[in-house]
Amino acid sequence: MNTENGDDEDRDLMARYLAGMADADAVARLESRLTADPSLRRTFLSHANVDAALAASVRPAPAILTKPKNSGVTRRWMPALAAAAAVVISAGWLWQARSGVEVRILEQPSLIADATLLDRTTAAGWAVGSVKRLREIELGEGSLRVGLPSGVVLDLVAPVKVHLIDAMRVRVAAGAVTADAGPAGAGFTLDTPDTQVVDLGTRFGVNVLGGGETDVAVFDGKVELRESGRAPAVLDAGDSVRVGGLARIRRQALISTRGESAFILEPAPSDALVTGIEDNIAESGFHSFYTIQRGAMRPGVRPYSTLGKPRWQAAEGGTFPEELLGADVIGTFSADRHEPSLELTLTVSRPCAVYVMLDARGEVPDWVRQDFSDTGWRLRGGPWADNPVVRGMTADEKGEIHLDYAVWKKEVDAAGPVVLGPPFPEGNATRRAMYGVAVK
Amino acid sequence: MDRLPNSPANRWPCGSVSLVTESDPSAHAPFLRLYVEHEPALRGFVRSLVPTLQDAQDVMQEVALALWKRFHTLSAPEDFRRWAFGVARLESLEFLRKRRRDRHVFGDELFDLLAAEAESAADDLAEERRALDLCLQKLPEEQRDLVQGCYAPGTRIDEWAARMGRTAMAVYKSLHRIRTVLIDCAKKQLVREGFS
Repeated sequence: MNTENGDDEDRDLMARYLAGMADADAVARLESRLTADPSLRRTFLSHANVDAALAASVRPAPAILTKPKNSGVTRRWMPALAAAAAVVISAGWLWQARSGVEVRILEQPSLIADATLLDRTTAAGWAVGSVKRLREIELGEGSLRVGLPSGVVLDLVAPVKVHLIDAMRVRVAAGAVTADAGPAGAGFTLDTPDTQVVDLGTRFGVNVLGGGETDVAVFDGKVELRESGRAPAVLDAGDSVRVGGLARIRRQALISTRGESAFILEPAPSDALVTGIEDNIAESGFHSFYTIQRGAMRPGVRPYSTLGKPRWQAAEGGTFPEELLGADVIGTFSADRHEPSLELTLTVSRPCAVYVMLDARGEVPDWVRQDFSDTGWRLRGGPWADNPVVRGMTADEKGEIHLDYAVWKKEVDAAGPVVLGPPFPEGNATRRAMYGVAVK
Repeated sequence: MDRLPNSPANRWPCGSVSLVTESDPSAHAPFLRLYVEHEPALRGFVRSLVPTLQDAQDVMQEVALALWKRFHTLSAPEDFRRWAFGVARLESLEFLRKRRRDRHVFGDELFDLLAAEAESAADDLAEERRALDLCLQKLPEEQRDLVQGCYAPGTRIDEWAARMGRTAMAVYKSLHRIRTVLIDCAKKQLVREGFS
């Protein structure tokens, strides 16, 4: 509909109007043309959209925070103020994407031999505390911990490739990334080819597997999964799902983790000893995960997938069993102790030894007596926080409560499934701890 | 069995997450999350309805306050965008009506057309904003500097233009051309990504 001259006039009118410099005649002419021409209206909407986005990206909007008439705001408006503040902060990040996002190196990369970086910095320049502006990180080996301007901390474990969109959004093209969003990071989003994972105040990770599948695990708080055309799904702490394939979201019972104070998601190695775990819990909406920390068995490692405080330790007055050192640690979850018919099936890829650590206060289940032998070794697990498992027990001189565990062992002579039974088949599990598992 | 409390019945948006009542502190997090998620779309929507960026800024103040004030009336979080656009439309209309005596603004018919079309195009406009990141990087340095200078905090275009030896209108036209380039680039980017 527009002629070349008409296009020129339209451009001029829109430029004047959006600049606030259109007089009455110009507004009337633009109004007439916009009313008559739907395609011009769509162009106008795009210009307004881009204008607002550019303004928000570099202009700290004074909305609410500085307007005099709102100076008497009361606490009831604080969420709106906080929302405005969050908008101001996020506004600046869009602009950063123009030339990357400033990241602070929080942990010296173990290896960055194959790192593809905006500034092509060499490993020597990756000192802890240094700040770099990056658009993309690709690690062929090793791992890296960086902090974003939003306060979000990312742990990347090779092989991994991410695009830093802004301080509140990172696109994971491949590999494992764990995000600790912290209090200021609510809304932080990890985009993957298969889903969007939006933080609701939490620590979580994704592992983009390729082939249209992504694992998502939540270590603390909640996340929301968003897929186009589908209702969002919320995952809680201790949940892990695989997104993709015909069944779009399904439980992913085993996740590979590392890290001492907090879990970091990592890809499974190609030569993994334990290749999978399944249990016989088939509740709708049940997504709890088991963890595997490969080669991590030593004093201080976490025995459970979700309980944060307890650690494996040597028995009081004893030493840590040398044979256990370096074993893969399977993190079970505490609620399993109540399941009188639990079947936990590990799949191993080669002959190995499976160790089960039983709460020494309880009876030894028949399936353990039949298939395992008592090593005579003892471990301690603790300290326990206030928990029904240790209720009624007396704290030691440090104010801590630890439990003793008996270590039972089974030699497995071939690759295949290894079935473990319930910890307390007779019930009465409230004051007892779920068993731990190690494989070597 | 004390499983983690993650049954579907407890999950948003399946119905049981309460949006609480007005000024209930527990509504802060849901409100903040929804507002932050939809704020860029709302800002673009409001910008299309009022003449200047500063006008849009002023209206957005009122929108944010009105949304929080009435947040308890929202029946379900998935309705937030439609509801928020409705509030933003009313606030924009109110703003324009107050200023019609001393400002040149669009009439009601065009206002209604733009409001309806901006809402129905919100998803596409959001994709254009997302693609904008990449397109900004592709701008020639001179154009990037112009954008950054003109949109920087506290910048008055007329003063900035005077320092550059240009008229304000010339600068505004340059910005309009740059926006056109960015829009074209964003659309091409979306086609490449399979969005269009």
